[in-house]
Amino acid sequence: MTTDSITRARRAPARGSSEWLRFGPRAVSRPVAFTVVALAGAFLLLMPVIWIVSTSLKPDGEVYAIPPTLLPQNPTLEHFVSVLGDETVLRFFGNSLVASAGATAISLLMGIPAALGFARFRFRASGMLLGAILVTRMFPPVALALPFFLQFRQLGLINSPVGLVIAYIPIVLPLVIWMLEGFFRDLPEELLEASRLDGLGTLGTLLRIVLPIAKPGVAVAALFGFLAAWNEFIIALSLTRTPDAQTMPVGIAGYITQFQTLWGDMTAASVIYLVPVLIVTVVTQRGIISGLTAGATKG
Amino acid sequence: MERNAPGDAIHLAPRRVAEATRAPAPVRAARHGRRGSLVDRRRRSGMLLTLPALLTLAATALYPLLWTMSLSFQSFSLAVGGEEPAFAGLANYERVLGDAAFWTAIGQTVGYVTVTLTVELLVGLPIALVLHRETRGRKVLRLVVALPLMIAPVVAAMAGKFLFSPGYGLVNEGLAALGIDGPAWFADPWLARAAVLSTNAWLALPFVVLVLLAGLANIPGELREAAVTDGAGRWRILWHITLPLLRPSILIILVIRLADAFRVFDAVYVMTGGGPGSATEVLSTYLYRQMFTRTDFAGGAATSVLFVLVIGICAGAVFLSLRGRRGER
Repeated sequence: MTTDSITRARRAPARGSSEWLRFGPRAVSRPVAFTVVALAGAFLLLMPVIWIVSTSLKPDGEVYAIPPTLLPQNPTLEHFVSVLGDETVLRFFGNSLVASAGATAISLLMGIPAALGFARFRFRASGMLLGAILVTRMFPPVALALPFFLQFRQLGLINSPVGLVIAYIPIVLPLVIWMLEGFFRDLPEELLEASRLDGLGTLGTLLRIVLPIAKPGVAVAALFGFLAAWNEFIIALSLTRTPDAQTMPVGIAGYITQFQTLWGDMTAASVIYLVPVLIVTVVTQRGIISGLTAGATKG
Repeated sequence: MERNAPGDAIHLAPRRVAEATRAPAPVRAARHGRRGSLVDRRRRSGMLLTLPALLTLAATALYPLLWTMSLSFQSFSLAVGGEEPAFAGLANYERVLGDAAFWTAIGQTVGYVTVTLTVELLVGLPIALVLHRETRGRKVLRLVVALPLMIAPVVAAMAGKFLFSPGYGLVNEGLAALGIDGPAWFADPWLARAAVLSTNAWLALPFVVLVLLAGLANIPGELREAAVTDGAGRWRILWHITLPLLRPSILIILVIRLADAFRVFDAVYVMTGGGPGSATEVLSTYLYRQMFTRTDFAGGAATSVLFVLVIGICAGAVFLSLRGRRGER
């Protein structure tokens, strides 16, 4: 949108801000109608999250109250105390952390040079190979669970965090390569030229020139790679059997398949499960914003 | 992974810019003469940089898939001291294709994918159009829409199961406030499908909206201005200008979300377990059951191959049909 049209829309709100919200014939003022609809929509979108957080703070009696209460009437931290005191949950959490961080670290280690190679050092078949890597994202993870399960049985990697790290690489690595390849394509050619004239080798270029500049992009790729592994369910479900190796999503799903669903503890565990994601998001936030605006400011 | 998808949106705009500015010509010209060695060196660097990742993916993605393909033509027993693996021809495929449950799962998966893509676009487009406008609170609304990005499918499914549960669930409470007697969602085939579908649509919404927003940002404002000057109404502008120009974004959404929707598992497994009966059984849950409940791994391998084929054909068909139509313009 040009600045021109923005100012125009601001000056004439009747035409600009709500022109496609046409319920009543001028009965409701349009900004008010817009606000109401936007708030209602936002509330609906936030509902599942509000519900999880609110349930985790309700005492057991209120969790199953009929009619249900939207917000806890007598907020309590008892579920958090019980979940955090439960060694099993802590193990789920640790396993998730190990598997996700491990797969993300390895994927970054291999994915950063690979993305640079695909983006800036083209060779014969590099386009085809990149295409093949991106196509792997189409494969259903459940189809990977089968070969990994049978092979890991022989290698003793079933029910092992190491096995999960290996199994997550074909999910995280293509994602990292895809995101970083787009990012590296935007680096100015002069930069690589200059580093070559300065006598820096390929590795030197990567470590001293590309990486410092690409930090925001790497942060975004790391965040989404981590999220992919952190939220993964079916492979963890297939390759782990006990809390020694099971991850948070498997543990959380386990609350449901028992005889009774312990909603209070389960939602508290879910909130705890969300915390690292929020931390990673906040830490990489500046990176996400500059990553998002990188293309917009260059052009 | 369904969760990755939203990240793709981030690079749509930069990539387009890069596409326009990248100039491969000098590299090609340099092939001759003194600088030829430079190009060779560049190529060698490219191969060395990509080699570790390529080898890793060959071992963790290509090899498992080839192994699955070969297993699909063998007989296989998990039991210790059971029969040795032997070539079985097409027996596994015949067994899977002769299984009525497989066809139920395929039919329901295709139906689910079709409806879910339609719903996501119909809901995502208005939201993207609102967020694209200069309105107060737009930044906050964008954050709200992006929130499901961070929520794990399992957690969303759990919340969905709770919200839709009769008695202490909030959905029926909301319906009661409107004077409607809330049904038992997970006891009715169609209502169970609707519950699973809406949960997954909620999870996918950020991706759809972010890609559409990136597409909207690329439409020059002058086009709209010109149409307004020509006296075009808002619906005509939407239909004749905005939507055609959004076609590349919609194509990206369709192809990526198609592959995602095809492998839906988490929400089905947690919310319904495939039931009631087999009303929400999809290919992923069928395959999981075939492997880990019936321990028919050779059959599972055949199902995996068929599964990948179905996704490939559908994604390819959507891609070609939409790209073709764009060419006609």
